[in-house]
Amino acid sequence: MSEHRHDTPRATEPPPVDLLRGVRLSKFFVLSGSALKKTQIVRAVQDASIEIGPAETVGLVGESGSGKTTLGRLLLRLLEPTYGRVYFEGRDITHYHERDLRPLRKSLQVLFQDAAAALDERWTVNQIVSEPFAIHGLLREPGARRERVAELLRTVGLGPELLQRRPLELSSGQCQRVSIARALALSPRFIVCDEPIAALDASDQLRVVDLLRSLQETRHHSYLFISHDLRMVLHLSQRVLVMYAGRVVESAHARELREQARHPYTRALLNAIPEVDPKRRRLRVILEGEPPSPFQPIDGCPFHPRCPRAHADPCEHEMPPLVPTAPGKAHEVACWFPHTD
Amino acid sequence: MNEPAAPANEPLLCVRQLSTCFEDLAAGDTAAARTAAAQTAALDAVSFDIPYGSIVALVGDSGSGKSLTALSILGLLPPAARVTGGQVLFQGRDLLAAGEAERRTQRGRGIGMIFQEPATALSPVHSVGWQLALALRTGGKLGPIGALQRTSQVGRAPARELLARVELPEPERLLDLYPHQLSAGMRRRVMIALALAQSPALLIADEPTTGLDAPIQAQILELLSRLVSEPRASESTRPSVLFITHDLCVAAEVASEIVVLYAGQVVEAGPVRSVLGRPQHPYTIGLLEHIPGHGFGSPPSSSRPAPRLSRGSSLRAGTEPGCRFADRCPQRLSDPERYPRCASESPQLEPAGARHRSRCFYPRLAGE
Repeated sequence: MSEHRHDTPRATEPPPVDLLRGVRLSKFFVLSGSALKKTQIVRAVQDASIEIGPAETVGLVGESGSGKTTLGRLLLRLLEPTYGRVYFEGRDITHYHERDLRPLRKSLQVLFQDAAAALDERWTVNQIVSEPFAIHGLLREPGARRERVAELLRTVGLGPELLQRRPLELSSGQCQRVSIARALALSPRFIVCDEPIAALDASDQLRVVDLLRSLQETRHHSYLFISHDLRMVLHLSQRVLVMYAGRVVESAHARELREQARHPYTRALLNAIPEVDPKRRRLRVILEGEPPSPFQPIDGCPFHPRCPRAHADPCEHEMPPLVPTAPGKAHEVACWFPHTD
Repeated sequence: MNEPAAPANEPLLCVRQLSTCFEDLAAGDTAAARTAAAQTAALDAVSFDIPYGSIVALVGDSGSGKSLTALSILGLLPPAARVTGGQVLFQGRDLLAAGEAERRTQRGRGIGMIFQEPATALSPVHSVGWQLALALRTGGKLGPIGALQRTSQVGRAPARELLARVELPEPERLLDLYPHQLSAGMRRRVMIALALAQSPALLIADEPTTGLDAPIQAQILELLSRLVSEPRASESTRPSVLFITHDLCVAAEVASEIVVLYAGQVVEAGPVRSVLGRPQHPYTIGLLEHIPGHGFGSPPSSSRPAPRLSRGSSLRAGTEPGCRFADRCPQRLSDPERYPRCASESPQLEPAGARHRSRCFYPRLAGE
């Protein structure tokens, strides 16, 4: 996969005030062809805008392949956008080189889904958590570094007896805590949590989410919480963006989204949450079909083939713009026929 | 469920006091040392029934013995594990007493298995049609095995019918595709079709929706419910399901009965409505409290975190006295003086309502 970039045609948006801001981001991947295969363009993210304030948690929800992870990587500038701009603390970092990004890396961290795979299995917990200091040349004095690592482990609820263990000797929940400790080492301002609990047991999931929240209360960093589990996203986030086929189709405060979702896709996602209480189980409307393949873009609204409210016109011809549900409201939806009740 | 005064018609499967343990591995090996607790009794006297035409959910954390129960029923335990006692009565016959030849006949034909991970359970180098034809042949539905051609015309019609039964679109085209060409949801459906190939009376589904997106998960759950509930031409093609999951919500969606496992023991079991509506065991209550939004209403920012199950190994050595959950039990830890029996005696499964059983000395307190 090679990157394919044009220069942004224009950036007329007002200067950002948020901690991190993505403006009309698109990322296209080019799968180069060969004698037998045509060159293909994958539109992973299209025209997605996102703002994340200080000490805020923004949730990003969508099915696999919807572009959640790509958007997270664009914000971290692990990928360079094809179109659009990324601002960090007001600075335009869209085209920063790796050398310029390096000092920012202390502030921008990431947690991965499979924590066990994200940790080097030959390293001890001590080595893993002290690596950020080594990379950035901090706490050169070994005693100070060891003390700091033990303190970080304590912060994530792990005892010092784990310092000399290796990832294979830890449970999946412990591995995720070690990677949280590593992400926290340099006191970041912003952490992308990419499906951080998907690989954990049910009773571990909420504990890790609780931990993330309490760390935020004391350290005031921001999260982009990426998950396909809408229930968990609603639980942790203040605001939520719903992605479908590379586009943001709805964004709102978590509570408003839960109670007054406008987009038929968001409604379907809410509806698909399994419920313990039969009284809470709404009349189940099962969303038919599967998300579109990123190789075959769909004309019009990408959701129209699965949408119970789709009309031939304009849904099949024109992508609906993401607009506020009412003037001045923070709740935005991209649908020609949004729910209004 | 364990009383002799059960309804006149026998359940499809009765698991009675099933115990399985791991043999001691070489001492000194670190891996062995770590799972020392697990080796004593991985399953301890597990009992439950699966009535005809029902879905029974087996719920618990990883390491609680869910998959081990399934493998013990199927007789597919890894070499280090051994069934040490109990009975598995399938249509009245004790599978544990049966010979290997009979067990092999039962696998697939009597009991179908939907494995957890289609990416590893499906063959990457054979087409969907080929794999279905193999399953059909193994069940004796297509004549003897041998000369398996990739696109055997004989196998196509029944294979296509299986794909249609799991509601896959364009079954004819799918027969010639390979697993990597299918989406995750489609692969799960192919797994279910494979398990259905020999029309088993019981399907064991091991985490069949884990890792799927919610809309696709809902589709698969709906499909399983329909397979069980919808009348087909002959009764024998309507399987019962043993549904293994760590997700209580998913269990509540599909199952009529629920069995909660903790550290190899059934800690609570009964009809879903009763177990989840009036949970008696602190572990079940803890699991319910771990569902975010279970008590919807208060916004996350202002909500006080509910008491969480403390972390820790879920396996207290079976040889130690006391309740296996005692070290993590929020109820006991809140005031150990009030609950003296937990550390010294082993609680038994006691009736806690109509067909509802719970393994706790202080169940009513927990239910408050």
